[in-house]
Amino acid sequence: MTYSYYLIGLVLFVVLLAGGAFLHRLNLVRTYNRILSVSGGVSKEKVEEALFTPQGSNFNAAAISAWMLLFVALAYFYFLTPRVFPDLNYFLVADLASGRLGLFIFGLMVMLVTGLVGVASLRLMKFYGFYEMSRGMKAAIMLTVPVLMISISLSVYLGTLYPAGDAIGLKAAALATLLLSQIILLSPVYIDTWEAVR
Amino acid sequence: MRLCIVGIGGCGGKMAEQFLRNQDVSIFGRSLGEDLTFGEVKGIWLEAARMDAQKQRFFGPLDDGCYPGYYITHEIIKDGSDLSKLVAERYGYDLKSPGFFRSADYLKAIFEIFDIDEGLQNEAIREYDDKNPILSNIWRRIRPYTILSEKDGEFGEDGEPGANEADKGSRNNKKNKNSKLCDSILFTISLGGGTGTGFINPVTRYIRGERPRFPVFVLGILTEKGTDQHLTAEESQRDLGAVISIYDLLTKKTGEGIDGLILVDNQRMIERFFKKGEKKDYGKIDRAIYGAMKPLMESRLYPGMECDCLAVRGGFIKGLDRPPILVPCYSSQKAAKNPEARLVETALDGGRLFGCDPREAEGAYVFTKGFLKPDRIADAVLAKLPEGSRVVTWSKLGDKRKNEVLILLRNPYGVAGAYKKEGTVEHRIYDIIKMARVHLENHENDIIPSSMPDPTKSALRSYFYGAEGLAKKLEEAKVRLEMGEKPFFLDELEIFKEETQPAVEVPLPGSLAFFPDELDEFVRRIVRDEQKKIRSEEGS
Repeated sequence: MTYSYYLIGLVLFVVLLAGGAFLHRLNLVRTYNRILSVSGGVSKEKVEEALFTPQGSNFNAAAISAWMLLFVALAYFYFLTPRVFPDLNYFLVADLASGRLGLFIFGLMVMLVTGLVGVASLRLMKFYGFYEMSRGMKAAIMLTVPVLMISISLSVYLGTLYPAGDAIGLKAAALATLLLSQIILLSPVYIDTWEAVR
Repeated sequence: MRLCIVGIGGCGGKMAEQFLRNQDVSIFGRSLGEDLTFGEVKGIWLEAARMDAQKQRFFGPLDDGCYPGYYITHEIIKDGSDLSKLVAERYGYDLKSPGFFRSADYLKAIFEIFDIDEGLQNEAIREYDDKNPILSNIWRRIRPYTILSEKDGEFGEDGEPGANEADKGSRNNKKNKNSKLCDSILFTISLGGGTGTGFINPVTRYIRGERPRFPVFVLGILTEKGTDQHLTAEESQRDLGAVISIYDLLTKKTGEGIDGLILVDNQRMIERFFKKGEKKDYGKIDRAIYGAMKPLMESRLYPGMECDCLAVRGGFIKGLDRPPILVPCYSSQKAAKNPEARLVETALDGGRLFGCDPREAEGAYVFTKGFLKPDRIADAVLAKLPEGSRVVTWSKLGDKRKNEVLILLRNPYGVAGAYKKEGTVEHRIYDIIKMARVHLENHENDIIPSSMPDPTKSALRSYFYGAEGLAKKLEEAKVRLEMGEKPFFLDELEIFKEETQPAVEVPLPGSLAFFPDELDEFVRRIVRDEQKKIRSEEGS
């Protein structure tokens, strides 16, 4: 797997994420306009409040975990070894990389960063609350947790072997599971947009 | 508006299961938090047959802390109970009789004797610390799901909803809007003569004893014609049960009984979903009925719109002194441009869940889900109803992909001769009355078992065959249906009546008896107060 493939993966990740955020905003505006057309003037805040659908505590817990793990998986895939970013990676902190608990501490630091995502997850719950989701879709989102664990495990394995070995299949699998999970996590937005376009 | 779903009996339980299904995901079959239901409804299943309750896996025993839970209606009565023995000795009834006894009058009688027999009440108090242990224990299981269990709830400690809302100020109102508890009850039952048919009236009567104005609705499913796949009872027996139950539901005065009977005809559903001779999957029907009720249950209203349970109740009973029949008409269509007229038309034409003629409805209560213009919906409904009909619309948000409408038509019947025309309320009700009459004529020995004590036999005979008994009332109802009169059932009937008390002379206060003018003013004041009370009740 060459450097360019890594980069394409990263660009895809960013595009999917930015696209999701943009389309979510678009969906909100479209829905707001539809409500305006049928029920007269109301504020956007009121519309957002009225549209909120609780999705259940199990789902919320799973969705927050999945989003945190998504960023952990991303960090492990791109920043664990100097393969992609020679100037920005875990190996540059020699004490950490050679320490017994290095990997664990790195993981913990990523968790702290993604913890911020966790704090923002109150917002995340609102994000999913905007969409009517079937149980099947909720289950798919919940299943991204084990899928992301696979991605993380593969990255950890590859990082441990580094620089020996260049298992392209494993790298591709780690990236594929990462992107697949991201697509599933953002699927309510994309499906809603697709339905509207259709 | 948040409903507490109370399924009674086998069919009622299956129906309640649809409403109470968890919309959240579970982790290895376990839920970490509270169940999430559509419209955030809560509920319970009341069943009389323990075996049936244990056979299914959706509901667990409520008293073991399971949710959603079932409760065995006669659970409280211990084996060898003195009260049970006394009832059996004095009246010949078994308090622990299972629901499949298929005799609505059986349960009706059991609960009536508790109302009139002081000796029985005393024994019940001695043994269970309660005048009517079965019903009070049932209510104790339902009540915690309602806002009545909140101390300073909207319904207050006196149980009068909205009676003094103005005095309570906005703090309490806000609190109740945020409450996760239910502000109204929807019983789901089959009118097939079993547990649901038998229990619905005693239970609502008991609730009304405590809470005269708490919104209580019934979703009653009339069983199909002929012999169905599950029920062993013949059609005439089921129809007698249905008639007894509907009669009791519709003849109780507002505030003493329910606030609306939403009728669904299983025969119609079967014809819609299955070919002749095809094996019937009743689950499909349950899902369709549940789907049709979604616009009513949806909790996301258009911004700025209110769907207060008291307003809904008030709408249903406005101007009536007895509960109305509400026929649900439902339609769902993919989101399109200007969908209102087509959606309403489909609902009123092919989407009726009980045969009726919308042109005879007194009014309509419309619940929409999706992006629909309320005024266009109201206009489309009005165009199909008699001139001057009242149409009330509650608009709720949907999932953007489809639009749904549920129209509850109030009392859509009342045309002379319509009883001959298939697909009308008159025809279907006339039909079950006819079948019930056949059962009354041919099964007198089953209806009044010889094993019963004489006073019970005499009470039953008078109830069924007396000069003012059920058989006579059904004949009168048939005539009213033929003439197109509303309502078709008139006088309330009881099996066990309280002995008529001798007239007691009420002493007039002070010297009023000697001053006719003051007496006039006194009477006028009472009448005025009463009128005011009635008006405020109707207005709520």
